Amino acid sequence: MEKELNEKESLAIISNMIASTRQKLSENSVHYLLWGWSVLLAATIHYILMQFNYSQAYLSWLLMPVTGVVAILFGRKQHLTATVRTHIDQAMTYLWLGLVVMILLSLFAASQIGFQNVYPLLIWLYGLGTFVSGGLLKFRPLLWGGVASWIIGTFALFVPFEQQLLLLALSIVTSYIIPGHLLAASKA
Amino acid sequence: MTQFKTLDPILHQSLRLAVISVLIAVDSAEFVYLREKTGATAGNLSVQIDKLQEAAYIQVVKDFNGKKPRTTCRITAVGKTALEGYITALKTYIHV
Repeated sequence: MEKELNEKESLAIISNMIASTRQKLSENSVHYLLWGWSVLLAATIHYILMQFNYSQAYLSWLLMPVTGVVAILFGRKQHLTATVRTHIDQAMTYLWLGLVVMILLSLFAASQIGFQNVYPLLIWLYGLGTFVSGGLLKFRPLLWGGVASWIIGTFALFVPFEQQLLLLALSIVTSYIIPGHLLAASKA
Repeated sequence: MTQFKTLDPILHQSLRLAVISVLIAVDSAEFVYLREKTGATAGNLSVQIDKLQEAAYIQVVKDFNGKKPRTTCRITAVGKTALEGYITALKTYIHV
């Protein structure tokens, strides 16, 4: 027969179990790095090809569907092997799904009002994603990265398209690549 | 004199209390995860999960992940209220 629990033991069980469900932050870094590096690569290639007056420089963005497939496969694998789903996982899924929809709608808008007018918005949206993620994960570099993207996006309003590409690349470095590597290295 | 409240007998058992405490902190958890966190044996854990399910404190879904059987648990609204009630009752014993 099991011994009777006393009140202090009960409270200890409750708080220890709740504390044990804390996730390892570093597991979240993969997607930031995957998207960060591939968007940086596409933006840089686009910019370089423009310098050579190549008329279809934008084709560098064909890398995005490839990254999308890799991200989906990786996410599926993570989902299948995960034995727990936290409230934060849940919130992150909806945040990023919502952002993907917003980014696709903005790209659709760009076909009507021009990419020049849409790039600042895209940069702000990238910032929103990392800002909210930083808040959910309580990881400051992501929060600051998000703020940096909002500032960079605002500058992008006032420059021609070519320089917007460079600002987009800069925002990816500050809000995805740097925080992504810091997250991967964090022991928390 | 302090009025002592009765502690819910379903939750006043260490393994069941541990399971419900993990489940209140997450959206859903698999059997494997609960075993890892509570350190219980599979047999004992499975008995206690059944009791929690009978009380409608948790919802249990059994399906397959590929070919492997999988048991996923999630706390219900009844379970949340019960745990809150249990904590409130505990407080009457320890004066917090």
